[in-house]
Amino acid sequence: MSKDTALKIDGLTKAFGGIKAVENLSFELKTGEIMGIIGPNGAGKTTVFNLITSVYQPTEGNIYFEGQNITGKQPEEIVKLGIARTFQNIRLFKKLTVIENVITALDLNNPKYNVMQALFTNFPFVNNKIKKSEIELREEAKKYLRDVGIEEYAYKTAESLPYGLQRKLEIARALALNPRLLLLDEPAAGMNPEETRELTELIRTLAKKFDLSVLLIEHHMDLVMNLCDHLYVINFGKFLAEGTPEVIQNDPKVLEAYLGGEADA
Amino acid sequence: MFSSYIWGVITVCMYTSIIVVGLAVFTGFTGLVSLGHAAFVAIGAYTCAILTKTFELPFFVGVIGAALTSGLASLIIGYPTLRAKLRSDYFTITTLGFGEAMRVILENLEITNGARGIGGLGNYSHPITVFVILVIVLWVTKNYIFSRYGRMSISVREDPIAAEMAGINVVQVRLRALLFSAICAGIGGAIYAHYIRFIQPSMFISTQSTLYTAIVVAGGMGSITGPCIAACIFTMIPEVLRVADQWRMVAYGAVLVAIMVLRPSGIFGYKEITIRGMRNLVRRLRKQKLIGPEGVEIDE
Repeated sequence: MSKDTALKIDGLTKAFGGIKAVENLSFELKTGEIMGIIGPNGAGKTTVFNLITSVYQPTEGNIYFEGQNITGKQPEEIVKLGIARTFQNIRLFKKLTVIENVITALDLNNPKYNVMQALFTNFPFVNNKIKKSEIELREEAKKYLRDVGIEEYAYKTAESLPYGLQRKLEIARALALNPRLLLLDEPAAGMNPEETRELTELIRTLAKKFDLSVLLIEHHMDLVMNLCDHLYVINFGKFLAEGTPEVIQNDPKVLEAYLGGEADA
Repeated sequence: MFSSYIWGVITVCMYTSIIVVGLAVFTGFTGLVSLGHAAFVAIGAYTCAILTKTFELPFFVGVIGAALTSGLASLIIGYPTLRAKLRSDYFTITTLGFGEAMRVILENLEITNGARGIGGLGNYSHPITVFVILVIVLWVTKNYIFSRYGRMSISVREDPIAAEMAGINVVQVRLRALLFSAICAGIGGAIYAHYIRFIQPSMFISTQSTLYTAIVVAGGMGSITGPCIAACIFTMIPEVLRVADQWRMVAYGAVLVAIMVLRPSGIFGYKEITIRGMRNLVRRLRKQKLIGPEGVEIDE
C-alpha cells in the first residue's frame, strides 16, 4: 500500500446479533479523491462510517489509513491520526458558542498549558499563558468559521443556528482537527437544491484548500454526481456496484435497487 | 457581630458550597450523576479526623490528607467504571453502591472506631479559615471551567460521541472531573469533621449524597455560583423553619418541586453571577428607573 491510498477497507463485516448490517465490503479511496457511498435507506452506509471511526468494532475485516491498520483503535486515536467526520443527525456541542465548538477541536493537538497551570496560575488581572492561548485560539478558530462562511455567528450558541449553518459548523469543527481524510455523513440532508449547489462548491473548495481526501454519504444525486470522482454503491449491507458517476448512473443493478424492478430512468 | 449560631449556619453554608461546587464540575459540567458523593465527604472527614486526633498533626495537613485520600478513592472507583463506558444511569447506580459500601467499611474498621464514630475533634473550622478555603476552591473551579479542560468537560456533557470524534478522550475527561469533585468533597468533609467535632458513619448516608446532587441540579447544571446559592438556600431552609419541627423536611420537597416547575434548568441555569453581570443589572434597572435617581448614569 502506497501513499496514494488514503483509506482501504478490506472485507469489512459488522453483525448486530444475527443481522449483518455490513457484509464483506472492500474498497479503496485514493489520496485527494472525493468518493461517495450511496445506497437506499438502511443499506449500511452510516455503519461503514461508524466502523471507520471506531464507534463500532468490525466483526471481521480490516481498515487501513494511509497504509496503517487502524482496526480496533480508540476513536480519539483515529481522530489524532487524521480522520475527522460529521454526523447524519447533527451532533454539535449545543450549549457552547459557535466559536467554542471549533476551539474544542482546535486546541487538541498542541495544548499550550497543562492541568496544573490551568488550575493554579490563572490569576485575575494578570496576563498569562492561559489567557494568551485563549486569544490565539479564538483568532485561529475564526479562520475556520470564515472558510465555511459563518463567521458572523461566532458568539451565538450552536443550538441557535439555523439547520443549514449547523451543518457548516460541523464541517468547520471537523476541519479544525486538521484531518487528511474527511468523512461527511449526508452533508446536504434537509437542504434545498440551491443550498445543495452551494454546499457542493464549498466541499470542493475545502477539499482543495486543505488537501483532503473526502468520503461522503449522500442521497442528493445531483451533489453526488457533480462532486464525486468515484462511487461505491451498497444495498442491504452488500456491495452492489462501483465506478465513476457516469457508469453508476447507467448501471441497471443500481437503478433496480433504487427504483425497484425495471426502470428506464 | 453575629451570635455563634449564625456563624455556625454560615460555616455550614460555606462547606456545603465547597462540596457542591466540586460536584457541579462533575454533574453540572461533565454530565454524569453521582449518588455517592457523601462517601467522598466521609473519606475526607475520617482522614482529617484521624490525622489530627490520632497522629496529632496540624489541621492543614489533615485537609491536604483528606483531599489526597478522597482523590485516590475516586480514581479507584472511577477508573474501572468510567473505562467500561457504562451508560450514565448504570454509572449512577455504581456510585450509589459505592456510597453504601463506604459506610459499611467505616462501620467495621478499627481505625474509624466503628459505628461509635470519632469524637472530641479539635475546633479548627473557624468561619474565616473556611471562607479562605472556599475562595480558593471557587477560584480553582473557575479556572478549571474556563480552560480547555472545562471546555472538554462541557463538550462531553453535550454530546459524548461528538466529543470522541473531536478527538477528546471521554474517559479521561470524566475521570478528571470525578477526581476534582472528590477532592472538593474531601476538603469539605475535613471542614465538616472539625466543625461538628464528632463524626460517625451514619452521617454519610445516601440521603446526604442525594441532597448534594439535588443542590447542583437546583442551582443550575452548568453554573458554579448557582449551586453555591442553592447550597445556602438548602442549608437555611431547615434552620429558618426550625419551629415547624418535622414538617420542615416537607419544605425541601416543596422547594425542589417549585424549582423544577419554575426553572427547569436550575435557579441559574447556565449563567453565573459575576461582577460585570451585577453592574449590567444595576445599569438596566436604573435605565428603567426602577432604582436610583432619575437620569443618573453610572460612571465606569
